[in-house]
Amino acid sequence: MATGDWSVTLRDDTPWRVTDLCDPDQVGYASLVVAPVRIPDGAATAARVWSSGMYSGVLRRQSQRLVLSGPGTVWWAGGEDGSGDWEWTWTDAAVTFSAAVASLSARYLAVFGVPVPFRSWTVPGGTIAGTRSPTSTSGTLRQKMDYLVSLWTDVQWRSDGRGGIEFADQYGLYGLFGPLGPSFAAAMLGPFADGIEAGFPGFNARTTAAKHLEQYATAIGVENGGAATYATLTTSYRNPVGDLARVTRHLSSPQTVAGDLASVAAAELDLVDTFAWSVDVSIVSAYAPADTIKCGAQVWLADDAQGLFGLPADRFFWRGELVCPVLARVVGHQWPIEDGMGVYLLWQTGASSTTVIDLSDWVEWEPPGSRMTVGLPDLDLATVVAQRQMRI
Amino acid sequence: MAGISIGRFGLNPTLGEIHADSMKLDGDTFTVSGDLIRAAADTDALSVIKLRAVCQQIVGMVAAGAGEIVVPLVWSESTQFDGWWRPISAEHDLAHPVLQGETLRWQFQLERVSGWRAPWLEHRAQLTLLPNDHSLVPVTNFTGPAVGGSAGELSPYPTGGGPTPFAAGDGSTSLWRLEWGSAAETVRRVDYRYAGLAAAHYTGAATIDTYYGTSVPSTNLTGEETEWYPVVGRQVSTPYLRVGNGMVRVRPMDWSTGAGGRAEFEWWSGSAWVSHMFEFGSAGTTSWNTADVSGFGPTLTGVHVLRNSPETSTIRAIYDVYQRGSAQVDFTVRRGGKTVSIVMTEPVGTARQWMIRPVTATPTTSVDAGTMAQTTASSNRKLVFMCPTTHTRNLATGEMFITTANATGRFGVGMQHNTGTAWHESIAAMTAHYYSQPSLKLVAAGR
Repeated sequence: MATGDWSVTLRDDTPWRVTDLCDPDQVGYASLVVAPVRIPDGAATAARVWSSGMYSGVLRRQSQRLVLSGPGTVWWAGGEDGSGDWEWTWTDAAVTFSAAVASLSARYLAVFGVPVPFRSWTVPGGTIAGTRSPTSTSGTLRQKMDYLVSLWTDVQWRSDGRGGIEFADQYGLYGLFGPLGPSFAAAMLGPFADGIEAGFPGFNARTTAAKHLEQYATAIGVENGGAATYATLTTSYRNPVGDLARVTRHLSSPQTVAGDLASVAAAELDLVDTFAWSVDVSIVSAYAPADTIKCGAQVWLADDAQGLFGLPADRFFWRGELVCPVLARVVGHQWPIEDGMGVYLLWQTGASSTTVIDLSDWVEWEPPGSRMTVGLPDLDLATVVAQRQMRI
Repeated sequence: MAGISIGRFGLNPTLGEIHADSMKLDGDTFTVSGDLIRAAADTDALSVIKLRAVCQQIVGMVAAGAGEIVVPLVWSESTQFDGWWRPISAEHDLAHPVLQGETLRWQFQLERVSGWRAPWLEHRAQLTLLPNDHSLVPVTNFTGPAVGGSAGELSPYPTGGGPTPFAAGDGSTSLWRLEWGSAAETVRRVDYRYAGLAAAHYTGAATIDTYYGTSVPSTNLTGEETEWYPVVGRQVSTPYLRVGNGMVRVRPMDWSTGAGGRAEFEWWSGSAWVSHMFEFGSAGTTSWNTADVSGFGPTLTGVHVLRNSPETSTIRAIYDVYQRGSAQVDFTVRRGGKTVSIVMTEPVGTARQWMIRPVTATPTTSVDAGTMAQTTASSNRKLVFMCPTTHTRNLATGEMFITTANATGRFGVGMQHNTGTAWHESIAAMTAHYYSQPSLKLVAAGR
């Protein structure tokens, strides 16, 4: 299963009239919405289903009548294989982040005559400083969205689980404002960390942690076809001869204007200027962890046995003792569809009419336990999913 | 005493000697077993209550999150097995130890720790300073049990800088304390290794006890019942828990004992446990003196073990809070410490003004911005009160309350043993054990 994709298996005894309604021939590209609770039959209007969603996807495949699958809603902006409208340009001069976001959707409307294929397109909060001049000569909407967030430091876009797209920094997307302390992240993860303490949830989780320098760089050069602009740092690592290490990376970004190359180089170097943790986390059993821990959110990892030890400045009380967990970003989250959730297909039958198909009675529920991949505290999500060319 | 002890099992003299009658050694795997008999006539017999205590100690050894990765084994009849082992399995064959004449068969399977007679016990502390509003940066310390000699074999490996070892006996408990202090070393991770005697491992250890009697236990003020026995691991579900280390002890309480929303703090006077009752409360964003005060109680809705190890033990008590739901109060005691660390939160994380005060007004004197001590000693001991957060204090009563609403209320209550500085009994040394607060864990053993 690739990033953002979904798959639902229906039970053997699902009536034909239900599986007929999942036929891609008839209801192809219907939206699949997973809600953390079932909505009572009479109340399951399209609006209510959308607003309850914690995940939304697109129905593309029905296999052996009972297994439905497809990509996440983001597919509407362009597939991971680059499919989608690519022959259109978008340029703007010296715009702020919010203005750039609005400008991109306005440009899409101007070129294609319809608004962007998402139910909302917002900057939910946070303050992102600086103006940039986006210049995109080709690429799908998705590639342009990745490009937009690459121009600023530590911002990203995400699907909000309800058919919409949000653009912001981590504070705007995950509501993580305020001083350091437990609430600087969405949850605490670790062995026997379950419970809720001072309004902050913990999940019993096992971690497999690796610490590495595989992405580390002492200099990053960004070029758009001409000479590269470099961002460098002072390192403490040395090569075998005893001189300071030189680890330079090359980033080709043809769509960046010359004036923004320095900012892009600095933003990229900011991501790889220290060692990285690469951690797999398995949540042992918790209901709908995806509702609390959204992909891209920060989490605290507390697992002494794996050597996870964070910054002393981040210490706080947890279960009666002072802990010093690592702050990490969730960059991938694979979670089961469990008994108690609501699973709906929203079939758009006309310009403003939707048929709600409630599959919750027929889903083969999966056992609890989810897997997450977490990375550097300030790892830009766009770095993970965007298509870039980086050479060592 | 004679008999066998594996970890805390078999260690408590009130429970009687435990004798093993069968053992098998297969390479590094050691299987040992014996009988416990429930019969009034037999000299080795145990009452129902004692059988319950012993059964808990057996199953608790390997329950999830037990808290001790290795345990010492001491066997007087066969001392060649004395040393450190890793528990693999622990079982007994009696589900309901109530029938007179029934024999309970227990069995442990253990794996030898490398260097098993005297392995390095590596302890790690993640950091060493309790964040506090008073700019207090006390001497940091680490305490271990008697290891035969002033500090036994000790190899401290702090990350950067070097501590000054200072072995300090502590009367009957024979502990030692390693102290160091410099601004640069106050907040960082430290690693300590020491090697010592299996028989001394539980000296002054943080211990959690539970009560198995059929009546509701009373406090030491009125005369305490005797059926409190040590708990192993987390697998215990009686409604009564207390945590202590042989010098201080604390027990959360509820209305059924006639003292709602309170905890009993006790110190060891040298011959008996002396009791002091404390009560808790929280207030909203208005001033403390208005009607928006909610004392905790009347009901203690639950108490369970968060961590149970000789270095640190923590219990969590859930107090009913009037018209607010509940509050979680965590009590932590560490080996060698004469303070109890108390952390109060509400599950939903509402910021509250937190309060703690002795039930009987206790005149106190300010020591510094974070500490106040009882003015008049009794039996050479004084109560000491600590709060790392900015707070208001009432010196006449001993009350401390945190006036800026905070999601977490942190306090410490302790005992100063008033016999002078040679045994590190000054208030400064004692509060250092609270304000410098390494979360000590035994992480590895072997040599």
